[in-house]
Amino acid sequence: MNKLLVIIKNYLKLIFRNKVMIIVVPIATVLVVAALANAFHTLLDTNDDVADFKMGYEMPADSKYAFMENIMMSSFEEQGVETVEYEKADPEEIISKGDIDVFVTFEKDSYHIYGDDKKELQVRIVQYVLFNVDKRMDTMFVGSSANNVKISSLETIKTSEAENYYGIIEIVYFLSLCTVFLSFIFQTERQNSIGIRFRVGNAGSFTRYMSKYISCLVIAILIQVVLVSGVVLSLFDVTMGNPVVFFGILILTAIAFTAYGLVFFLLFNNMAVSIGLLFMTLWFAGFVGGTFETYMYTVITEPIKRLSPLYYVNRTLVETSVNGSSSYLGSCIVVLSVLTVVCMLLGIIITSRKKEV
Amino acid sequence: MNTVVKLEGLIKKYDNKPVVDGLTLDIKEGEIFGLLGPNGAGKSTTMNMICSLLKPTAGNIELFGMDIKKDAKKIKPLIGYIPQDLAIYGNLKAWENVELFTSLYDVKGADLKKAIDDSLEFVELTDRRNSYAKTFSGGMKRRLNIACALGHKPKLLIFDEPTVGIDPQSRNFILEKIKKANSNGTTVIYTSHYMEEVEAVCTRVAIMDNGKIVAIGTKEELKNMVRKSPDEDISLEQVFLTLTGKTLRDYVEG
Repeated sequence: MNKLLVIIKNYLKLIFRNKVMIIVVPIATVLVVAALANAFHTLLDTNDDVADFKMGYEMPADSKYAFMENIMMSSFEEQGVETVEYEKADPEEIISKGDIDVFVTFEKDSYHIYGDDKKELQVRIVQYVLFNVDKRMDTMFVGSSANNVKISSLETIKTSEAENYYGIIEIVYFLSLCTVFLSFIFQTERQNSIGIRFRVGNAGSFTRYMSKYISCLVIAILIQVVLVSGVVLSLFDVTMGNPVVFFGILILTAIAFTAYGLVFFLLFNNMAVSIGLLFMTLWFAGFVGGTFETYMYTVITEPIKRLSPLYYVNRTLVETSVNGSSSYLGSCIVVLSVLTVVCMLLGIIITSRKKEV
Repeated sequence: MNTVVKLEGLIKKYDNKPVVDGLTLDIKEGEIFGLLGPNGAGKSTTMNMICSLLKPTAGNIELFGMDIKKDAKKIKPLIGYIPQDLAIYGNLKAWENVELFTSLYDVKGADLKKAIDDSLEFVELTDRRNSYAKTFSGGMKRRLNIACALGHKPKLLIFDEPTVGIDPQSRNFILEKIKKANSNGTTVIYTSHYMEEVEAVCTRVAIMDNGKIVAIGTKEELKNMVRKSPDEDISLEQVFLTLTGKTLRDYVEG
């Protein structure tokens, strides 16, 4: 235990004395947040504008949706959708005149949404709200009478501001790259054959692995979770939603991605290959997981997004920030835990296999 | 005298090609044992096997009467290894380097502090203990490299070409310190390409070639092997070239 603490202490000294890295990582994070928040501000605003549109509808008295009409329409209004009721209207004619953007014809057990190609996003918003209405009705009518049910509100999407979204997402992305703090130590050890000294000494593979793991984790938490998050939270309009979930998930992310990054540094003797492959895999994870373009409006399909651990982290933190909670919290913890265990085992095995010079 | 290192039929093969080929050797307590050989002779491979950095393909290694395979944990604290490369951190101070490498052997507390002081004093770097290693000259870095292997008070010191690339003053200093360590009871294994160094410090020498020992004995015994007449003045370098040949050895050691 004593030798582990002495090694960690000296590794931390080495990392803190490498001032370039200590300064560059926080500054880079803040700059990227500022750049992306600014660049995508317009895009997210465009999406806000999309929400301000007019929807016409026709609701016959015998439709199963009739009794929820008022609640449904106030949900649309919350989304910035102005609703206009029609009687015996021709949807195509109304839309072609440009009076409204989307038209919904409710029937006895179904509905029909009309909208032209240019109003695809508006149609999707209407579809989303109605989908939630259907879901809620399904729940209501199982073993219950409609007359006994009171509905106060319907589920709606709340959108995140660009600064809030990219503030959170870039903290996570740079945190996933935390093992770059160790690159300098690996480089020195390889150039000077210091590893031989460790192997001749009485330091087992577990001690050698944990000394690097814990040093990196301590730096990641101090610099990225505490310092960088603090700076980003205070400089930008970023909200945590739930501080316990926010910092808890960030710490779990640091734990998982320290183990993940170490695998690359241990697996390859060439630093360029280690760093290149680490960055490549994390870039892919970020690309599909919402780091560069928001996961809400991307063309990437859900099954591919789910391949990226960053997707779970991003989604959990953004949803928690906006809604105060996220249904992804559980799966995020499971994914990060599995990543930690698998990568730590791999790391220790690789360290023990590297006994031979 | 007790046997400190005992090698029996030691073989190391790479791709079925023997790099060390049936090496049998005893090194006694208190010796400064020189291991000589051209590039590719198998010296470094042998050293690496003694330090348990490499597993032998066949044969036995006993250190201090213990089998290296079974008792590696007990044997390691008895060995101090000074690698050819400068195995130190430039961004750590001199005392921090010694602290780090000494702590690997579970030296702690007051013992660790004393070990740091003693090691730096031995290589005469006490006045530079708070300087970063990267600010040291080549000779000072070599001395610090040695200090890092002394803190845990090893009984066997293994020097792998410790004087590469330094000035004659630093070289003489290191050779003197090797003799001093030996006079304190430490057994030394020493490899070098500089024959005059081996001649100056070693009490017994083995010359290796193609993974085998081609000659072993005291310096005088080796010289007698190639002397044509009893009064012929001969250097160790002449002995070495006679026994290993004058052909260039360009391949890298395994």
